[in-house]
Amino acid sequence: MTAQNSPAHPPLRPPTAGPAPVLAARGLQHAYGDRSATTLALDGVDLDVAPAESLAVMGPSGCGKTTLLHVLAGILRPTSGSVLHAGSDLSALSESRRTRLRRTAFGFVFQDGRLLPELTALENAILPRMLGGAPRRSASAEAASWLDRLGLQGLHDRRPGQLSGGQAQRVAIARALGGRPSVVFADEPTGALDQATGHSVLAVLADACRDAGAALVMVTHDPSVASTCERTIAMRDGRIARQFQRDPAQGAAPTQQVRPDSHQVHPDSQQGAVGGGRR
Amino acid sequence: MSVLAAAPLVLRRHGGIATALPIIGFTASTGILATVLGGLGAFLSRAATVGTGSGADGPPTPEASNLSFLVICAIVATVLLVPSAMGLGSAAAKLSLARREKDLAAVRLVGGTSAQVGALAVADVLVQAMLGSVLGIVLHLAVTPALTLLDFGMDRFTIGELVMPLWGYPLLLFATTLLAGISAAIALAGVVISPLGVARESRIVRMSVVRLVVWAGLILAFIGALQFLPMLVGGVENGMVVMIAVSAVLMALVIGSVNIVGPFVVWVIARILAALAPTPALLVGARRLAADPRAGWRSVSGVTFALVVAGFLTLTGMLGEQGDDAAGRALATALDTGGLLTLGIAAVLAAVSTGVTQTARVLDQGRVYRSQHVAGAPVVALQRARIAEIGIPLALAGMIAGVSAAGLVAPVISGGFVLEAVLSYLLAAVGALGLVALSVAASAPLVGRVARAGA
Ligand SMILES: Nc1ncnc2c1ncn2[C@@H]1O[C@H](COP(=O)(O)OP(=O)(O)OP(=O)(O)O)[C@@H](O)[C@H]1O
Ligand SMILES: [Mg+2]
Repeated sequence: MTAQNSPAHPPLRPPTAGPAPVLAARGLQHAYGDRSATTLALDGVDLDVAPAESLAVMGPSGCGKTTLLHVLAGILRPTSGSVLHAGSDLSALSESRRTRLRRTAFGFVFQDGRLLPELTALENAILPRMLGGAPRRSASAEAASWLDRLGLQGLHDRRPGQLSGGQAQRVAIARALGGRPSVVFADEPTGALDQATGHSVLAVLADACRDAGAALVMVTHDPSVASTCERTIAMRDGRIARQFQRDPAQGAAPTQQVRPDSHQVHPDSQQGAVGGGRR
Repeated sequence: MSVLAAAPLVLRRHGGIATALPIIGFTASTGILATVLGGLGAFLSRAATVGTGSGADGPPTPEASNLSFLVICAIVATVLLVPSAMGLGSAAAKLSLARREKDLAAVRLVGGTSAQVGALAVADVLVQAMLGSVLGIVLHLAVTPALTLLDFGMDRFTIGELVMPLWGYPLLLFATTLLAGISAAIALAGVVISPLGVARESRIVRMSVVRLVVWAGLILAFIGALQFLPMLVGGVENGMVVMIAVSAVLMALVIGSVNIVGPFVVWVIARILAALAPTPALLVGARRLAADPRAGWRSVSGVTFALVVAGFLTLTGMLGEQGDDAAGRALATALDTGGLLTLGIAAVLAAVSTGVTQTARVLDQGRVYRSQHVAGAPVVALQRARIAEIGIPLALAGMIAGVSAAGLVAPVISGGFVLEAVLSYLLAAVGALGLVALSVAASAPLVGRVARAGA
C-alpha cells in the first residue's frame, strides 16, 4: 500500500544547506474515505524538515494541513509515499513502534491544549517522560525547570481549569518538550487564544523549540505567526503551492509585527513575490 | 417555540451504543423493581391467605409460622434491592443527559434559551426512561414463569402471585419515569449549557470527614440497637415487631451510608496515591479519582452493594441452619433460595451498572484518550490508567463492604461462625472482582477504538 523508500522519488535539494533532514517526506498522497467517496487530502507532497528548523504550514481551510501534520507525525499512514525519520520509513513501522516514536521523538501541541484536566500543571508536563519509563523524580525536576523557563513559576500545582488559556498552552509546550523531541508538531496552537496572548505563546514556543534543539512544524492561519518561522509552506488542494524562506536578517526579531513585504505569506493571494518556492 | 420545533433535527442524529446504554440501565432498573415488588407481594398475599385459612382453631401450621418470618426476610430483601435499583435508574438518567450535552449546546447555539434547553433535555430523558421502563416490565413478565420454579419450602408460587396487581404497572412506569426526570433535572442544575458547549463547575472537590463519622456511627447504632432493644422492648406488646422495624431501618441506613463514606475514602486514598505514584497509569488513575471521587465510587457501587448483600447473607445462611424438624428444613430451603435469589439480583444490578458506567466513562473520555494516544501513549497505558481508576475504589469498596457487613452480622454471630463467614465473604469478593474484570475486559476494545478514532 505504501511506497517504500524507493529511488523512484529523486531526493530533493534540502531547503537549507546543512545537516541531514530530521523528517523527509517523498511523494505523499493521502485519500480519505472508501471507493464510493474519496477525498484526496494530500496529492504529492515532498518536504524536508531540517533539525531545529521552524516551519509554518499555511493554506485555506480543507487544503490538507492537518492531514500533512498527521502523516508526518506517523498518526496516519499515507496512502502512498513515504516519511523518513532518522532514516527509517514510518509506514514500515508497526503501530506500536510508531506510537513509541511519537512519544520519544515527537512532541505535540494541540489547539486547545488537551491537558488532562485532573492532573496538575507539573504532572501534565511529566507524563510523556514517565510514559517513556523515566522515574517520576527526575522527570519532575526537568519539567519543573521547563515550566519555570516558560514563565509558570508558582503555578506548578494548579489544575488546567485554574490556568488562563495562554498559561495552559505553555504547560502544553512544556509537556511537548519534556519528552526531548526532535520535532514538535503544533496544529493551530493558538487558535483558541486571543491574538496578543497567541503571539506571546508562539514566541515562547518557537524560542523553546530552538533552545531544545527541536524542529517545529506548525499549522497556522495567521501570517504574522508564520513570519516568526524560518520557513513557510503554503498549501493548496493537497499540494505545496509555494515555499518561502525567511530572510536571515530578520531572524534577529522573530516576533516582529506583520509587514506587507515579500516575505509575508498570504495563502489566498495569487502571486507570491518569491515565486515558486523550491520545487 | 420555533427553536423547539427545530430541536428534533438536532437531537435525532444519534445511535448505537450512546443511546443504548441509558436504555439498558432503565430496563434493568424497572425490570428488577417490578420483579422484587411482585415477589414481595407474593409473600404478603400468601401470608394473608394462609393466615385466614388456618383460622382461629388450633396451632398455626409450620408453613404459617415460617411465612411470617419469610415475609420479614422478603421485606429485608426489598429494602436491600429497591434503593439500588432506583440508583441504577437515576444513573441511567444522568448518562442519558450526558450523551446529549453536545446536542443541547447546539440548540443553544441556534437560539434556544437555557429554560427551553433544560425542558428539552428533561423531556428527552423522560422519553428514554419510559421506553426503558416498558422494556423492563416486558422483561419482568418474561422471566416470571422461570421464577415459579423456585423452591421456598412450600407450594410453589404461581405466575399470578408473582406479577404485580394490574394497576401496579402504570404506577411503576409513572414512578420510574418521574424518578428519571427528577434525577435529570437535579443533574442539569449542576451544569451550564452555553452555546459553546457544556461548562461543568470545575471547582476542586473536597470531602468532609463527617462522611466517615456518619457511617461508623450508624454501624455502632445498629450494633447497639440489637444489644439493647431486646431489653427495652421486652415487656412491650408487639415488642418484637418494633425491634425488627427499628433494626430494618438502621440496616437500610448502614447499607445506604456505604455510599456516603465510599467517596470520602476514595478521595483520601486517591490523593495519597497520586502524590506518590511511580507509574503514569497510577498517577492518571488516582488523579481522576481524586478529582471526582463520587463518579469513581459510583462505578463500583453496584459491586459494593452486592458484596454487602453477600456478607449479610452469611447471617441468614447461619440462621437457616437451626431447627431439625420439617418446618426448620422448609425454612432453611426458603432462606437458601431467597438468599441466592437476592444475591443473584444484586449481581445482575452490579453487572449492569458497572458495565454501563464503564462504557460511559470510556465514551466520555474519548477526546482525552485520542490526544494522549496521538502524543504517544500506547493503548496499553490508557488501559492501565483505567484499571487503576477502577481497581482503587474496588479494593476500598471490598474493605468498606466487608466492615459494614461484619457490623450487620456482628450482633448475632458467635465465634465459631467467624471463619466460615470470612471465607464465604472472600468467595463473594472474588466473584465481584471477576464481575468487574469482565466489565473492564468487555469495554477494553472500546478504549482502543476510541483512542484510534478520527483522523
Ligand atoms: N477523517 C476524514 N474523513 C474524510 N475526509 C476527511 C477527513 N479528515 C479530513 N478530510 C478531508 O480532507 C481534506 C483535508 O482536510 P484537513 O483536515 O487536512 O484540512 P486543513 O487544511 O487542516 O483544514 P483546516 O484549516 O480547516 O483545519 C478536507 O477536504 C477534508 O474534508
Ligand atoms: Mg486542520
